[in-house]
Amino acid sequence: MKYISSERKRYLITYSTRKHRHELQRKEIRKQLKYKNLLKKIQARKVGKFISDTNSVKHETCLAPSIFSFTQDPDTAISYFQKSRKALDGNLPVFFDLTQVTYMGPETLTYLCAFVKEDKIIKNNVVKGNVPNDPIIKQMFKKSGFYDLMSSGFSSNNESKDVDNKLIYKKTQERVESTLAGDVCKSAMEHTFGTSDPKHQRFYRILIECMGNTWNHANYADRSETYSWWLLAYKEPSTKITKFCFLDLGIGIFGSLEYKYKEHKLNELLKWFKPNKNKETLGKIFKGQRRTSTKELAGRGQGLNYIYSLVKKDKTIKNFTLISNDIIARIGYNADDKIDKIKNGFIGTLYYWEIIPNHD
Amino acid sequence: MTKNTYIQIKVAKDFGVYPGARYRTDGPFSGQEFYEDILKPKFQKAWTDSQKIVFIDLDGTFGYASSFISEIFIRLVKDFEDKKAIIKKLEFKSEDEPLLKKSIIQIINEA
Repeated sequence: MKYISSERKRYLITYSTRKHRHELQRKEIRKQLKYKNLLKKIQARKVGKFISDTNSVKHETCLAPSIFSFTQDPDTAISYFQKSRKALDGNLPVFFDLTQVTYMGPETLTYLCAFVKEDKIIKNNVVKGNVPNDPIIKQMFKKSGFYDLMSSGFSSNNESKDVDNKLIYKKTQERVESTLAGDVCKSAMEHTFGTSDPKHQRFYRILIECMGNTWNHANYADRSETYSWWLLAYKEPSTKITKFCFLDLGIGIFGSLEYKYKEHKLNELLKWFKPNKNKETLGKIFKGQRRTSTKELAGRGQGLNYIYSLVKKDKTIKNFTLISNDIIARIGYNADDKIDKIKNGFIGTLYYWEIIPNHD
Repeated sequence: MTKNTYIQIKVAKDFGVYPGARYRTDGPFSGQEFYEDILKPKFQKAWTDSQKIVFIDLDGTFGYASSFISEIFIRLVKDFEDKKAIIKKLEFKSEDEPLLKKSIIQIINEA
């Protein structure tokens, strides 16, 4: 019998245990990979089937309302997307039927874009849709560059995909992109005012404030989360009006305020912020009544107050609308402020405004 | 009596026509970037020379976000402390946005 030293014995036992463990791990990895690949195959088959023959796959058809607009009928638009989201959460593919839409604002188009491109919403599911029959809205879909952003899952209803103008922008790192904002403003000014001289506009500042707000608030609850912001500057072909929409799908203005309030990090907030009184809170923010006296916070949180004062001073900015969480606010030059509650909670923050030529 | 000499800063030319937000981490052309790279070195020179004044021409850009402006002047107060002396050392041109000068003075006083 061959003699094996105790040291060698110990080595062999350790080695065999390690080898056995390693084999088990490899087996587990192989099993997981096989399972993942199978899932992928099933999903791809489901997607392919849904795209090629929609009716053969169990899905949810979401028929859009005739007035499909966040600014004109926010509750209906929000509940439409909530219904779609519910279906997606239930792992059902969704078909967006927009054929019966007779009015659709660019803000709703931007939201639709953000919605179907948001991985957190779509998850591993698939969406498909058509475009409204209305020729003006069809033109907006085409001119906005909507089709460029969509994959084959969103049929273009035989519309040409040859879009010359890219008007929808998406940024995923939520940064303040001042050069992009400037270029968008320049192009809007040329369309609306016939000049690109910066002193004719105030909306560049509004855009920077919007971008800054997203960067600071959209993911306040969880800094590891990233939210995209979306920007559309739609130059209406038949008029000189440019319609702006800036959107993020973050936790919203009041969502972030509530977190700050709960965390007690910014004690200064406690003095004026009342949870569940968002209407009053926004009024205070707009009027600058929440200016802080603490030195560490000096100069902070003035973005919305600044936007408000810019809109109130500028007669070329029309129909300014802010939607966040359960609030819709409409403000304008020489007009009374309207801050209302909306029935269905809006996910994120949406700013919309129009630039009209100055005829003075 | 000796005459003041001006250290000029034209934001549109020396920095850019598209000013951004507050911090460098927010994106390009931030208030922090303007302060650290442009204003602070020039203000330092003016601070040590009683005859020198920093003249900031704010015109020609697309406009300033509130965070951009507040970051610059809050940092200036943090670094140089004496608010009255800081205000004396600054002059502005802001024809595009006449109220901007008033807001800057307010930011310095409240910082």
